[in-house]
Amino acid sequence: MTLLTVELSTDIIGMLLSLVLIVISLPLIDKGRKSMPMALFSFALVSFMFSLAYWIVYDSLRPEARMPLAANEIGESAWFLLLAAVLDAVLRDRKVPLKTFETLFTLVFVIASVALWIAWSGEWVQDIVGGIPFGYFLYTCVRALRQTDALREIEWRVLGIYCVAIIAGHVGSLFITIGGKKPLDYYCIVLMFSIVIWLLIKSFVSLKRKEDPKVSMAITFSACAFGFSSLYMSSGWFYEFILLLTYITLPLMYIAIKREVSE
Amino acid sequence: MIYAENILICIAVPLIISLSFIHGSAKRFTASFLLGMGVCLLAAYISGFINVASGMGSEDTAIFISPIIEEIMKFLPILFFLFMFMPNDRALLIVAVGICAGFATFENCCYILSTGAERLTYVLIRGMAVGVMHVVSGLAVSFGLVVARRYNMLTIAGVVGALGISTTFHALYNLMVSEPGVGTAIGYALPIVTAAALYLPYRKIIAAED
Repeated sequence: MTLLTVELSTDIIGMLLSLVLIVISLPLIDKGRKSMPMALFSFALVSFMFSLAYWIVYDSLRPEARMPLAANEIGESAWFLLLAAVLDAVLRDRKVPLKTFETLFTLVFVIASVALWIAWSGEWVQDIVGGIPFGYFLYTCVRALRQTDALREIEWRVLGIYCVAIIAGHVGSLFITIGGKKPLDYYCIVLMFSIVIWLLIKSFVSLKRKEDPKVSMAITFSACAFGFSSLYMSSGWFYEFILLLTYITLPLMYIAIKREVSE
Repeated sequence: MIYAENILICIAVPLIISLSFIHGSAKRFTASFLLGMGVCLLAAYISGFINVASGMGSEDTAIFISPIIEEIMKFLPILFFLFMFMPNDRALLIVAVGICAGFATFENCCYILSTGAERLTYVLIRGMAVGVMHVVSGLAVSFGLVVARRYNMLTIAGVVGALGISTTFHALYNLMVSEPGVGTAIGYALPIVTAAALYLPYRKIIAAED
Protein backbone atom coordinates (compact mmCIF):
# COMPACT_ATOMS: atom_id res chain seq x y z
CA MET A 1 0.00 0.00 0.00
CA THR A 2 1.55 3.31 -1.06
CA LEU A 3 1.50 6.51 0.97
CA LEU A 4 -0.73 8.12 -1.65
CA THR A 5 -3.34 5.36 -1.28
CA VAL A 6 -3.25 5.80 2.49
CA GLU A 7 -3.57 9.59 2.07
CA LEU A 8 -6.61 9.18 -0.16
CA SER A 9 -8.15 6.60 2.19
CA THR A 10 -7.73 8.77 5.30
CA ASP A 11 -9.18 11.78 3.47
CA ILE A 12 -12.17 9.71 2.34
CA ILE A 13 -12.68 8.42 5.91
CA GLY A 14 -12.58 12.02 7.20
CA MET A 15 -14.99 13.20 4.54
CA LEU A 16 -17.50 10.43 5.22
CA LEU A 17 -17.21 10.94 8.97
CA SER A 18 -17.86 14.68 8.54
CA LEU A 19 -20.84 13.93 6.29
CA VAL A 20 -22.36 11.56 8.84
CA LEU A 21 -21.85 14.08 11.64
CA ILE A 22 -23.43 16.86 9.54
CA VAL A 23 -26.46 14.69 8.82
CA ILE A 24 -26.99 13.69 12.45
CA SER A 25 -26.43 17.22 13.73
CA LEU A 26 -29.05 18.76 11.42
CA PRO A 27 -32.10 17.73 13.52
CA LEU A 28 -30.49 19.38 16.55
CA ILE A 29 -30.03 22.73 14.83
CA ASP A 30 -33.60 23.88 14.53
CA LYS A 31 -34.18 24.35 18.25
CA GLY A 32 -33.79 28.09 18.65
CA ARG A 33 -30.90 30.02 20.11
CA LYS A 34 -29.72 27.16 22.34
CA SER A 35 -28.77 25.14 19.30
CA MET A 36 -26.32 27.78 18.06
CA PRO A 37 -23.17 25.79 18.97
CA MET A 38 -24.44 22.81 16.98
CA ALA A 39 -25.30 25.07 14.02
CA LEU A 40 -21.80 26.52 14.06
CA PHE A 41 -20.27 23.07 14.45
CA SER A 42 -22.11 21.66 11.45
CA PHE A 43 -21.18 24.79 9.52
CA ALA A 44 -17.53 24.10 10.45
CA LEU A 45 -17.88 20.47 9.39
CA VAL A 46 -19.14 21.52 5.95
CA SER A 47 -16.00 23.63 5.53
CA PHE A 48 -13.82 20.74 6.68
CA MET A 49 -15.58 18.28 4.41
CA PHE A 50 -15.15 20.49 1.34
CA SER A 51 -11.51 20.99 2.22
CA LEU A 52 -10.97 17.22 2.42
CA ALA A 53 -12.87 16.74 -0.84
CA TYR A 54 -10.50 19.26 -2.40
CA TRP A 55 -7.51 17.26 -1.18
CA ILE A 56 -8.98 14.01 -2.53
CA VAL A 57 -9.56 15.50 -5.98
CA TYR A 58 -6.15 17.17 -5.98
CA ASP A 59 -4.30 14.01 -4.95
CA SER A 60 -6.15 12.02 -7.60
CA LEU A 61 -5.47 14.50 -10.39
CA ARG A 62 -1.96 15.56 -9.48
CA PRO A 63 -0.40 12.86 -7.33
CA GLU A 64 2.97 13.71 -5.76
CA ALA A 65 2.68 17.40 -6.75
CA ARG A 66 2.75 19.89 -3.88
CA MET A 67 -0.43 21.94 -3.72
CA PRO A 68 0.10 25.66 -4.41
CA LEU A 69 -1.81 28.38 -2.56
CA ALA A 70 -5.37 27.21 -3.11
CA ALA A 71 -8.89 27.94 -2.04
CA ASN A 72 -9.01 25.10 0.47
CA GLU A 73 -6.79 27.25 2.73
CA ILE A 74 -9.83 29.51 3.15
CA GLY A 75 -11.93 26.43 3.95
CA GLU A 76 -9.46 25.28 6.60
CA SER A 77 -9.25 28.79 8.08
CA ALA A 78 -13.04 28.85 8.25
CA TRP A 79 -12.99 25.43 9.98
CA PHE A 80 -10.71 26.71 12.76
CA LEU A 81 -12.53 30.03 13.16
CA LEU A 82 -15.91 28.32 13.38
CA LEU A 83 -14.66 25.81 15.95
CA ALA A 84 -13.32 28.73 17.98
CA ALA A 85 -16.73 30.40 17.60
CA VAL A 86 -18.45 27.28 19.01
CA LEU A 87 -16.32 27.46 22.16
CA ASP A 88 -16.77 31.23 22.39
CA ALA A 89 -20.53 30.86 22.13
CA VAL A 90 -20.69 28.24 24.88
CA LEU A 91 -18.31 29.95 27.29
CA ARG A 92 -19.59 33.46 26.68
CA ASP A 93 -20.83 33.78 30.28
CA ARG A 94 -17.57 32.49 31.77
CA LYS A 95 -15.25 35.15 30.45
CA VAL A 96 -12.07 34.62 32.42
CA PRO A 97 -9.13 36.21 30.62
CA LEU A 98 -5.90 34.24 30.53
CA LYS A 99 -3.02 35.44 32.67
CA THR A 100 -0.39 37.45 30.78
CA PHE A 101 2.11 34.56 31.03
CA GLU A 102 -0.41 32.05 29.66
CA THR A 103 -1.35 34.35 26.77
CA LEU A 104 2.31 34.97 25.96
CA PHE A 105 3.12 31.25 26.16
CA THR A 106 0.29 30.36 23.76
CA LEU A 107 1.32 33.17 21.41
CA VAL A 108 4.97 32.07 21.42
CA PHE A 109 3.94 28.44 20.78
CA VAL A 110 1.77 29.48 17.82
CA ILE A 111 4.43 31.81 16.36
CA ALA A 112 7.10 29.12 16.78
CA SER A 113 4.82 26.56 15.08
CA VAL A 114 4.13 28.87 12.13
CA ALA A 115 7.85 29.72 11.87
CA LEU A 116 8.62 25.99 11.73
CA TRP A 117 6.00 25.41 9.02
CA ILE A 118 7.57 28.21 6.99
CA ALA A 119 11.06 26.81 7.56
CA TRP A 120 9.93 23.37 6.36
CA SER A 121 7.84 24.38 3.38
CA GLY A 122 9.05 27.88 2.46
CA GLU A 123 5.41 28.79 1.77
CA TRP A 124 5.07 32.13 3.56
CA VAL A 125 1.62 33.12 2.38
CA GLN A 126 -0.10 29.77 3.00
CA ASP A 127 1.47 29.30 6.40
CA ILE A 128 0.62 32.78 7.64
CA VAL A 129 -2.92 32.66 6.19
CA GLY A 130 -3.50 29.27 7.84
CA GLY A 131 -1.53 30.11 10.99
CA ILE A 132 -3.58 33.07 12.18
CA PRO A 133 -6.96 31.28 12.43
CA PHE A 134 -5.28 28.17 13.79
CA GLY A 135 -3.50 30.27 16.43
CA TYR A 136 -6.79 31.86 17.40
CA PHE A 137 -8.40 28.41 17.73
CA LEU A 138 -5.54 27.15 19.88
CA TYR A 139 -5.75 30.27 22.06
CA THR A 140 -9.52 29.78 22.45
CA CYS A 141 -8.96 26.15 23.49
CA VAL A 142 -6.34 27.10 26.08
CA ARG A 143 -8.68 29.78 27.42
CA ALA A 144 -11.56 27.27 27.52
CA LEU A 145 -9.41 24.81 29.48
CA ARG A 146 -8.64 27.58 31.98
CA GLN A 147 -12.25 28.84 32.14
CA THR A 148 -13.64 25.39 32.86
CA ASP A 149 -10.77 24.29 35.15
CA ALA A 150 -10.51 21.18 33.01
CA LEU A 151 -6.82 20.63 33.82
CA ARG A 152 -5.12 20.36 37.19
CA GLU A 153 -2.13 22.58 37.94
CA ILE A 154 0.30 19.69 37.48
CA GLU A 155 -1.28 18.88 34.09
CA TRP A 156 -0.81 22.50 32.97
CA ARG A 157 2.86 22.29 33.87
CA VAL A 158 3.36 18.98 32.07
CA LEU A 159 1.56 20.34 28.99
CA GLY A 160 3.76 23.46 29.02
CA ILE A 161 6.96 21.42 29.33
CA TYR A 162 5.87 19.12 26.51
CA CYS A 163 5.13 22.10 24.23
CA VAL A 164 8.57 23.62 24.92
CA ALA A 165 10.23 20.24 24.39
CA ILE A 166 8.45 19.71 21.05
CA ILE A 167 9.42 23.12 19.70
CA ALA A 168 13.00 22.74 20.96
CA GLY A 169 13.24 19.29 19.36
CA HIS A 170 11.97 20.51 16.00
CA VAL A 171 14.24 23.58 16.04
CA GLY A 172 17.19 21.34 16.91
CA SER A 173 16.29 18.95 14.11
CA LEU A 174 16.31 21.86 11.65
CA PHE A 175 19.94 22.68 12.40
CA ILE A 176 21.31 19.15 12.74
CA THR A 177 22.30 17.71 9.39
CA ILE A 178 24.24 14.68 10.59
CA GLY A 179 23.33 11.47 12.47
CA GLY A 180 21.38 13.02 15.37
CA LYS A 181 18.54 14.26 13.15
CA LYS A 182 16.58 11.02 12.98
CA PRO A 183 16.49 10.31 16.75
CA LEU A 184 15.48 13.93 17.33
CA ASP A 185 12.62 13.58 14.83
CA TYR A 186 11.43 10.39 16.57
CA TYR A 187 11.68 12.14 19.95
CA CYS A 188 9.39 14.92 18.66
CA ILE A 189 6.95 12.38 17.22
CA VAL A 190 6.75 10.51 20.53
CA LEU A 191 6.07 13.75 22.40
CA MET A 192 3.39 14.87 19.96
CA PHE A 193 1.69 11.48 20.00
CA SER A 194 1.75 11.47 23.80
CA ILE A 195 -0.05 14.83 24.06
CA VAL A 196 -2.71 13.87 21.52
CA ILE A 197 -3.31 10.42 23.06
CA TRP A 198 -3.39 11.87 26.58
CA LEU A 199 -5.98 14.48 25.55
CA LEU A 200 -7.98 11.81 23.73
CA ILE A 201 -8.04 9.63 26.85
CA LYS A 202 -9.06 12.64 28.94
CA SER A 203 -11.85 13.36 26.44
CA PHE A 204 -13.15 9.77 26.65
CA VAL A 205 -13.01 9.84 30.46
CA SER A 206 -14.75 13.20 30.65
CA LEU A 207 -17.56 12.05 28.35
CA LYS A 208 -17.89 8.68 30.09
CA ARG A 209 -18.13 10.30 33.52
CA LYS A 210 -20.74 12.68 32.12
CA GLU A 211 -18.88 15.70 33.45
CA ASP A 212 -20.17 19.24 32.84
CA PRO A 213 -20.56 19.41 29.01
CA LYS A 214 -18.56 22.64 28.97
CA VAL A 215 -15.59 20.81 30.50
CA SER A 216 -15.95 17.97 27.99
CA MET A 217 -16.12 20.51 25.18
CA ALA A 218 -12.96 22.27 26.36
CA ILE A 219 -11.06 18.96 26.51
CA THR A 220 -12.33 17.48 23.23
CA PHE A 221 -11.73 20.74 21.35
CA SER A 222 -8.22 20.96 22.82
CA ALA A 223 -7.55 17.38 21.71
CA CYS A 224 -8.59 18.45 18.22
CA ALA A 225 -6.39 21.58 18.36
CA PHE A 226 -3.32 19.68 19.55
CA GLY A 227 -4.09 16.97 16.98
CA PHE A 228 -3.92 19.53 14.19
CA SER A 229 -0.87 21.17 15.73
CA SER A 230 0.96 17.81 15.73
CA LEU A 231 -0.39 17.04 12.26
CA TYR A 232 1.16 20.16 10.78
CA MET A 233 4.50 19.20 12.36
CA SER A 234 4.54 15.68 10.88
CA SER A 235 4.99 14.16 7.48
CA GLY A 236 4.56 10.83 5.66
CA TRP A 237 3.08 7.90 7.57
CA PHE A 238 3.11 9.73 10.91
CA TYR A 239 1.01 12.48 9.35
CA GLU A 240 -1.62 9.97 8.27
CA PHE A 241 -1.62 8.27 11.66
CA ILE A 242 -2.04 11.55 13.58
CA LEU A 243 -4.75 12.55 11.11
CA LEU A 244 -6.66 9.37 11.98
CA LEU A 245 -6.22 10.12 15.68
CA THR A 246 -7.49 13.66 15.09
CA TYR A 247 -10.59 12.30 13.33
CA ILE A 248 -11.51 10.54 16.58
CA THR A 249 -11.96 13.99 18.14
CA LEU A 250 -14.74 14.86 15.67
CA PRO A 251 -17.44 12.54 17.10
CA LEU A 252 -16.19 13.35 20.61
CA MET A 253 -16.70 17.06 19.97
CA TYR A 254 -20.13 16.27 18.54
CA ILE A 255 -21.15 14.30 21.66
CA ALA A 256 -19.93 17.09 23.97
CA ILE A 257 -21.83 19.75 22.01
CA LYS A 258 -24.94 17.56 21.86
CA ARG A 259 -24.93 17.27 25.65
CA GLU A 260 -24.47 21.01 26.00
CA VAL A 261 -27.32 21.73 23.57
CA SER A 262 -29.74 19.22 25.11
CA GLU A 263 -28.94 20.18 28.70
CA MET B 1 -8.94 39.00 -27.70
CA ILE B 2 -12.30 40.35 -26.69
CA TYR B 3 -13.22 43.79 -25.35
CA ALA B 4 -14.95 42.86 -22.12
CA GLU B 5 -15.71 46.48 -21.16
CA ASN B 6 -17.54 47.04 -24.45
CA ILE B 7 -19.56 43.86 -23.95
CA LEU B 8 -20.45 45.01 -20.45
CA ILE B 9 -21.70 48.37 -21.76
CA CYS B 10 -23.74 46.66 -24.46
CA ILE B 11 -25.49 44.34 -21.99
CA ALA B 12 -25.77 46.87 -19.18
CA VAL B 13 -27.39 49.80 -20.99
CA PRO B 14 -30.85 48.23 -21.53
CA LEU B 15 -30.83 46.92 -17.98
CA ILE B 16 -29.91 50.35 -16.59
CA ILE B 17 -32.74 51.94 -18.53
CA SER B 18 -35.16 49.24 -17.40
CA LEU B 19 -34.40 50.20 -13.78
CA SER B 20 -36.45 53.41 -14.26
CA PHE B 21 -39.56 51.40 -15.10
CA ILE B 22 -39.53 48.62 -12.53
CA HIS B 23 -40.01 48.59 -8.77
CA GLY B 24 -39.64 46.45 -5.66
CA SER B 25 -37.97 43.06 -5.88
CA ALA B 26 -37.63 43.24 -9.67
CA LYS B 27 -35.67 46.49 -9.41
CA ARG B 28 -33.51 45.06 -6.63
CA PHE B 29 -32.76 41.93 -8.67
CA THR B 30 -31.92 43.88 -11.83
CA ALA B 31 -29.65 46.30 -9.96
CA SER B 32 -27.79 43.47 -8.28
CA PHE B 33 -27.56 41.64 -11.63
CA LEU B 34 -25.83 44.72 -13.07
CA LEU B 35 -23.57 44.90 -10.05
CA GLY B 36 -22.68 41.22 -10.51
CA MET B 37 -21.56 41.89 -14.09
CA GLY B 38 -19.36 44.78 -12.93
CA VAL B 39 -17.92 42.61 -10.19
CA CYS B 40 -17.10 39.92 -12.76
CA LEU B 41 -15.09 42.41 -14.80
CA LEU B 42 -13.18 43.59 -11.70
CA ALA B 43 -12.48 39.99 -10.66
CA ALA B 44 -11.10 39.28 -14.14
CA TYR B 45 -8.78 42.30 -13.83
CA ILE B 46 -7.49 41.13 -10.44
CA SER B 47 -7.03 37.52 -11.56
CA GLY B 48 -5.19 38.74 -14.66
CA PHE B 49 -2.92 40.86 -12.49
CA ILE B 50 -2.18 37.95 -10.14
CA ASN B 51 -1.51 35.69 -13.11
CA VAL B 52 1.17 38.08 -14.37
CA ALA B 53 2.55 39.02 -10.94
CA SER B 54 2.81 35.50 -9.51
CA GLY B 55 3.94 33.76 -12.68
CA MET B 56 1.68 30.78 -11.87
CA GLY B 57 0.44 30.47 -15.45
CA SER B 58 -3.09 31.16 -16.63
CA GLU B 59 -4.35 27.57 -16.10
CA ASP B 60 -3.09 27.29 -12.52
CA THR B 61 -4.34 30.80 -11.73
CA ALA B 62 -7.78 29.85 -13.05
CA ILE B 63 -7.85 26.64 -10.99
CA PHE B 64 -6.30 27.77 -7.71
CA ILE B 65 -6.51 31.56 -7.40
CA SER B 66 -9.57 32.66 -9.38
CA PRO B 67 -12.09 30.94 -7.06
CA ILE B 68 -10.71 32.93 -4.13
CA ILE B 69 -10.80 36.24 -6.02
CA GLU B 70 -14.21 35.65 -7.59
CA GLU B 71 -15.87 34.53 -4.37
CA ILE B 72 -14.42 37.44 -2.38
CA MET B 73 -15.51 39.88 -5.09
CA LYS B 74 -19.06 38.47 -5.12
CA PHE B 75 -19.10 38.34 -1.34
CA LEU B 76 -18.12 41.99 -0.72
CA PRO B 77 -21.28 43.61 -2.21
CA ILE B 78 -23.48 41.05 -0.43
CA LEU B 79 -21.75 41.84 2.85
CA PHE B 80 -22.02 45.58 2.19
CA PHE B 81 -25.74 45.23 1.50
CA LEU B 82 -26.21 43.16 4.65
CA PHE B 83 -24.45 45.53 7.01
CA MET B 84 -25.53 48.84 5.44
CA PHE B 85 -29.19 48.14 4.73
CA MET B 86 -30.02 45.43 7.29
CA PRO B 87 -32.32 43.66 4.78
CA ASN B 88 -34.65 40.81 5.66
CA ASP B 89 -33.68 37.28 4.62
CA ARG B 90 -35.72 37.33 1.42
CA ALA B 91 -34.16 40.63 0.22
CA LEU B 92 -30.68 39.33 1.04
CA LEU B 93 -31.26 36.16 -0.97
CA ILE B 94 -32.61 38.15 -3.95
CA VAL B 95 -29.56 40.42 -3.98
CA ALA B 96 -27.15 37.47 -3.58
CA VAL B 97 -28.78 35.51 -6.41
CA GLY B 98 -28.88 38.65 -8.59
CA ILE B 99 -25.19 39.39 -8.11
CA CYS B 100 -24.18 35.80 -8.79
CA ALA B 101 -26.48 35.42 -11.81
CA GLY B 102 -25.08 38.68 -13.25
CA PHE B 103 -21.56 37.45 -12.62
CA ALA B 104 -22.24 34.09 -14.28
CA THR B 105 -24.03 35.66 -17.27
CA PHE B 106 -21.26 38.13 -18.01
CA GLU B 107 -18.57 35.48 -17.57
CA ASN B 108 -20.43 33.14 -19.93
CA CYS B 109 -20.91 35.92 -22.51
CA CYS B 110 -17.20 36.72 -22.56
CA TYR B 111 -16.23 33.05 -22.62
CA ILE B 112 -18.54 32.16 -25.46
CA LEU B 113 -17.51 35.21 -27.47
CA SER B 114 -13.88 34.24 -27.15
CA THR B 115 -14.26 30.51 -27.84
CA GLY B 116 -17.29 30.37 -30.14
CA ALA B 117 -20.79 29.03 -29.63
CA GLU B 118 -21.07 26.53 -32.46
CA ARG B 119 -21.42 23.41 -30.31
CA LEU B 120 -24.73 23.32 -28.46
CA THR B 121 -23.54 20.62 -26.03
CA TYR B 122 -20.63 22.76 -24.92
CA VAL B 123 -22.83 25.83 -24.52
CA LEU B 124 -25.34 23.83 -22.49
CA ILE B 125 -22.64 22.44 -20.22
CA ARG B 126 -21.23 25.93 -19.78
CA GLY B 127 -24.63 27.28 -18.81
CA MET B 128 -25.72 24.39 -16.61
CA ALA B 129 -22.39 23.97 -14.84
CA VAL B 130 -20.52 27.28 -14.45
CA GLY B 131 -23.67 29.37 -14.58
CA VAL B 132 -25.40 27.35 -11.88
CA MET B 133 -22.20 27.01 -9.85
CA HIS B 134 -21.94 30.78 -9.35
CA VAL B 135 -25.56 30.99 -8.25
CA VAL B 136 -25.13 28.02 -5.88
CA SER B 137 -22.00 29.44 -4.27
CA GLY B 138 -23.76 32.79 -3.82
CA LEU B 139 -26.74 31.05 -2.28
CA ALA B 140 -24.44 29.13 0.06
CA VAL B 141 -22.89 32.40 1.19
CA SER B 142 -26.24 34.03 1.79
CA PHE B 143 -27.57 30.95 3.64
CA GLY B 144 -24.48 31.10 5.82
CA LEU B 145 -25.09 34.77 6.54
CA VAL B 146 -28.79 34.18 7.23
CA VAL B 147 -27.96 31.42 9.71
CA ALA B 148 -25.18 33.48 11.31
CA ARG B 149 -27.52 36.45 11.71
CA ARG B 150 -30.32 34.29 13.07
CA TYR B 151 -28.00 33.02 15.83
CA ASN B 152 -26.54 36.48 16.41
CA MET B 153 -23.16 35.25 15.20
CA LEU B 154 -22.37 37.74 12.45
CA THR B 155 -18.77 37.83 13.61
CA ILE B 156 -15.54 37.32 11.71
CA ALA B 157 -15.91 33.57 12.25
CA GLY B 158 -19.44 33.50 10.80
CA VAL B 159 -18.51 35.69 7.84
CA VAL B 160 -15.29 33.81 7.02
CA GLY B 161 -17.17 30.55 7.51
CA ALA B 162 -19.73 31.49 4.87
CA LEU B 163 -16.97 32.68 2.52
CA GLY B 164 -14.91 29.55 3.18
CA ILE B 165 -17.73 27.22 2.19
CA SER B 166 -18.52 29.05 -1.05
CA THR B 167 -14.85 29.44 -2.01
CA THR B 168 -14.00 25.80 -1.41
CA PHE B 169 -17.09 24.68 -3.32
CA HIS B 170 -16.14 26.88 -6.28
CA ALA B 171 -12.50 25.72 -6.14
CA LEU B 172 -13.58 22.09 -5.99
CA TYR B 173 -15.63 22.56 -9.16
CA ASN B 174 -12.75 24.31 -10.98
CA LEU B 175 -10.32 21.57 -9.96
CA MET B 176 -12.65 18.74 -10.98
CA VAL B 177 -13.31 20.07 -14.46
CA SER B 178 -9.67 21.00 -15.04
CA GLU B 179 -8.73 17.58 -16.42
CA PRO B 180 -10.85 15.18 -18.50
CA GLY B 181 -12.18 12.02 -16.85
CA VAL B 182 -14.79 10.90 -14.37
CA GLY B 183 -13.98 13.93 -12.19
CA THR B 184 -15.12 16.25 -14.96
CA ALA B 185 -18.51 14.56 -15.21
CA ILE B 186 -18.95 14.72 -11.43
CA GLY B 187 -17.77 18.34 -11.50
CA TYR B 188 -20.34 19.30 -14.14
CA ALA B 189 -23.11 17.60 -12.18
CA LEU B 190 -22.05 19.08 -8.83
CA PRO B 191 -23.64 22.57 -9.21
CA ILE B 192 -27.02 21.33 -10.40
CA VAL B 193 -27.18 18.64 -7.69
CA THR B 194 -26.22 21.20 -5.03
CA ALA B 195 -28.78 23.65 -6.42
CA ALA B 196 -31.45 20.97 -6.02
CA ALA B 197 -30.26 20.26 -2.47
CA LEU B 198 -30.33 23.98 -1.58
CA TYR B 199 -33.88 24.42 -2.84
CA LEU B 200 -35.37 22.93 0.33
CA PRO B 201 -33.61 25.24 2.82
CA TYR B 202 -34.40 28.14 0.47
CA ARG B 203 -38.12 27.38 0.61
CA LYS B 204 -37.85 27.01 4.39
CA ILE B 205 -36.26 30.47 4.79
CA ILE B 206 -38.86 32.08 2.52
CA ALA B 207 -41.71 30.25 4.29
CA ALA B 208 -40.38 31.36 7.69
CA GLU B 209 -40.49 35.00 6.55
CA ASP B 210 -44.01 34.70 5.13
